[in-house]
Formats: sequence, structure tokens, C-alpha cells
Amino acid sequence: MKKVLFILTSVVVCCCCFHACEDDNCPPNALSRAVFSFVNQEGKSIAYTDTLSVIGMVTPTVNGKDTVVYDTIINKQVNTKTLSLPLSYGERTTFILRYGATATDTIYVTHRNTPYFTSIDCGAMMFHTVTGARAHTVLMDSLVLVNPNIDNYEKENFKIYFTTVMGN
Amino acid sequence: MRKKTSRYILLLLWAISLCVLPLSAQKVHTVVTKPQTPPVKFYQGTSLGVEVGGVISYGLGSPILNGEVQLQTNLKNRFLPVVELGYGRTNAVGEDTNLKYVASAPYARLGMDYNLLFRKTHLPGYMYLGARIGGTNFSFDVSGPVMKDPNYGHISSMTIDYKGLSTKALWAEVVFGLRTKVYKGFAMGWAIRYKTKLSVTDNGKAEPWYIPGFGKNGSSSFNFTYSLIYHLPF
Repeated sequence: MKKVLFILTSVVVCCCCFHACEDDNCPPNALSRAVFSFVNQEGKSIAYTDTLSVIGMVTPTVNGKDTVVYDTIINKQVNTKTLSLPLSYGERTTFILRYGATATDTIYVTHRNTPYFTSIDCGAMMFHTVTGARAHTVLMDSLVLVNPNIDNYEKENFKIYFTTVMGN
Repeated sequence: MRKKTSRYILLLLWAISLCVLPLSAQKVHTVVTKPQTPPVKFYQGTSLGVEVGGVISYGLGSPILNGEVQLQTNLKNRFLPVVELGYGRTNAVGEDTNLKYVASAPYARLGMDYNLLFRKTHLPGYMYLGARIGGTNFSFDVSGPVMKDPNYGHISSMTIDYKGLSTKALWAEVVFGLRTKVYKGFAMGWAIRYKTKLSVTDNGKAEPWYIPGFGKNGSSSFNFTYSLIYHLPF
């Protein structure tokens, strides 16, 4: 009888221990952001040294009415080489880039959103696929889509080209 | 007198050397007779096992219910090829996330154990080390609460609700276990399994939280199995 009890206890303890041994590693970054890189006409990385602010704009429908929502994402940042900006859960996101107090560029991004399930412990993330992008340019030259897939692995999605004066 | 004594000593030494030297130069041949061991039969029977550890774990509160049968053949009391067929299911809800994951599917494993005590045939059981390759092809459902946009005024929202997302998984296992006879043809055994994931196909919408036969999705997992075994009478 003692042996049977010992075996049963061992089995129960082992079941508990090994059930707990399975790993629950959540991804370190659960945010999906579009990454824009600043490059010159030769494709080399450059920095915008003056202050730069980025305002996100979406136009959701609330209670049957079209509304406009502005969200300041970056406020007067200096020495900007890249921008990491969140897309909305809607179909369109607009980014207004304010360079100092002089010029403004506007980037329009259309995208498809895919909720991505990681696990019941870690939750879900929102991934995006860019379906289109255009820009109303003043200071920048052009906008080029490099990678349309935006997920929690931050990588370059867009290149923003500027014309710079080449020094020796 | 002194001369005579020394001559006797020399003669004695010569006589001793005659007796001893040939003995030391000679090789001693001893015949060791090995005990006659009966020849080991190639086929030593087949057993059918039922894994009950998964049911015990479920009874203790695990959201995963797993059951499997094992068909194992004993070759030369040393090599034990095995086929394991099982069925795993779960219906789990995350405590913090409130996300629901539902999956149920069969799985299969193929492998072999090696009896580490194959020379000790008098023992009522054996200790073994084994390897498995396992696989499953299954679909799962995922649903959860509304996901609110964390930016832009928290106005937009989306719901996660996927049905029948299909995926395939392949993994390898290293097994260490003990098995002992209990009564007549009945035996029981436990095993510790270290599993490492080889591949899981990505469907782009969700990662499987639980993989039948593997356990919770991760690069590796430990698992304990407890089986009741019956030695088939052929």
C-alpha cells in the first residue's frame, strides 16, 4: 500500500513539475511601427538637424459622422535619421511632417490590418500591410516603399529622399 | 672452511635459479570457461501501452487533455521500436488577455528506445533511452475581445476571430524512462521527454499556442508521461 501511495504521489508531483516547465516566452516588442529612413539623392543615410514634429491624422467614422483625429507622435525632435510611426487600425493613416517652422510634407499611407495572435498569455498584436503610399512634397524629394509588411520586427519600410548639397 | 661454505652457497643459488627461472619465463595458460548464456531471441514480444499522465494532468487543472497509445516491439531485449498515436485537445482562455484558443487533433510519433540494462535479463523491467520524431497536421480557432487602437484617440477597433487556421508541426524528442512489470503481462512505466521544435508552418495570422503531441508552443518543452502497459500474448 505504501509503495502504491509513493508511486501515485511521484506521478502527481512529476505531472505538476513538468506541466510548469513549458516555456512562455513573449516577444520583447509587441508594437508594429512603420519605419521611415531619411536618405540623400545617393541613397546614403542623412540626419535632419533642425526640429521635426510628426502629427498623425486619421478620419474615422464615429456615430455615423466623419471625424478627424490628430495625434502628435513626435514633438520637435532634432537630428532625425529615422522615424518610427504607428499606423492606425483604420484603412488610412496620414502623417504630417513639420520641419522647424518653415515647411510641411504630408505622407498618405493606405494599409490592410491583420490582428496577429501570439498566445493566450502574451496577447495579440496588429500587423499591417501597406497597399499604397504617396506624398505631398515640399522639402522631401520623394517617398519610396521598400517593404510593405509592418510587424513587430522593426525594419525599414520607407525611404524618404532629400536633396542635399554635397560637400568635399 | 670459508672456501667450502662459499661453494655451498653458490651451488644452492644455482639450484634455486634453475628451479625458479624456467617457471618465471613460462607463460601461465589458464582456460577460462565462459558461462553458457542462452542465445537471445530476436523477437521478444510486443506491448501495448496507454498514456494516462495527460489525463491526470487535466484532472489537476491543466487546460490540455492528451491521451495516446503506444505499440512497442522488443527486439533482442535491446532495441525497442515504437509507434505512438495520440489525440490532444485544448480549450483555453488567457487569464490576463481573455483570448480563447481551441484546438483538437491527432498526432503521431515514430522512434526507438534502447534498453540500457539489456544484459540484466533477470530484472522485472528496464531503463531506456530513446528518440522520437513526431508530427501533426491540425487546425485551430482563436478569438478574443475587441482590440482598441492604442493611438489616434482609441477610436478605431478590430476583433480577432479566426476559425480553422491550419498548420503543420514537426518535432524531435529525447526520451529517458523506466518500465517495470506489475502483474503477469501488465507493466507500468514513466518517461521524461525533452522535445525540440523542428518546424511549424506560419499562416500569417496566428501562432499555434498548443501543438497536439508537442505541448505549448515554444522552441522546446519538457514533458512527463506515465503509461500502463500490457504485453500482448504473441
